[in-house]
Amino acid sequence: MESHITLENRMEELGRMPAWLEELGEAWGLPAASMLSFNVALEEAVSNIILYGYDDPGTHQIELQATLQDGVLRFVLRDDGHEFDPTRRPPPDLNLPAEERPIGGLGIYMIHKIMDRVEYHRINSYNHLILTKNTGT
Amino acid sequence: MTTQVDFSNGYAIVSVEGRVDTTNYLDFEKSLTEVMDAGHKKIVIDCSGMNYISSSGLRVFLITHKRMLAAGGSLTLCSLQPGIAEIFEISGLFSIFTMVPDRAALS
Repeated sequence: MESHITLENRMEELGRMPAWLEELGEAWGLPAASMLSFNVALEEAVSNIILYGYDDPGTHQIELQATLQDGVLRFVLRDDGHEFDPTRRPPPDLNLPAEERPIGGLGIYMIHKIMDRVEYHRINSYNHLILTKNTGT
Repeated sequence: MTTQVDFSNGYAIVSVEGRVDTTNYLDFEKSLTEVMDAGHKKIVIDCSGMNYISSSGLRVFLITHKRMLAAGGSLTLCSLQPGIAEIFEISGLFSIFTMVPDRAALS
């Protein structure tokens, strides 16, 4: 099973993601609570691309593809922004008390917590971020 | 996302409805900042109507928590939907917040 959506590099475009995820979650029989957390992971990844991926004021396309095969859900994000490998960011120290914890770094930590695997490839000037999760379905 | 502020038994209760995400977390932060700037020391965020929260939204909760700690006040969250509680769990932030099941459980 395969589904995809193309978003432009504007924050308002994130508003199109929930309906897409809800639809494919229902079609593929995935629990709504899981779709909520996938939304968190994807929103983090896409907002990073929008915020930090481009210097020019032009419109760029961010492609999201979802596949479900043998119970493994796989999201591939493809964009032509600056090279950015989120897998190389250090995780936040969750042992620190709340008042000492830095505010940043949380989103990428959450992507890793929500998904089983996070892979990054730079191919022909495109970033490919691949997020996979064994859904057991 | 919409917010509403009520006052009850010494608490300033901020009810948040809808999705708190990267597109609107600054509005959410502004609503809470206004309540804190007004000097309220006991703030409750009623999450019963909140059906999504991104990491940017969680940061607002964290910032509010830090500021209330620094001011010698308190922040309590109430009525989290199960899916939202799960996102707090995933973030590792669940344990730092004081949470109660509903408004009736506020002391």
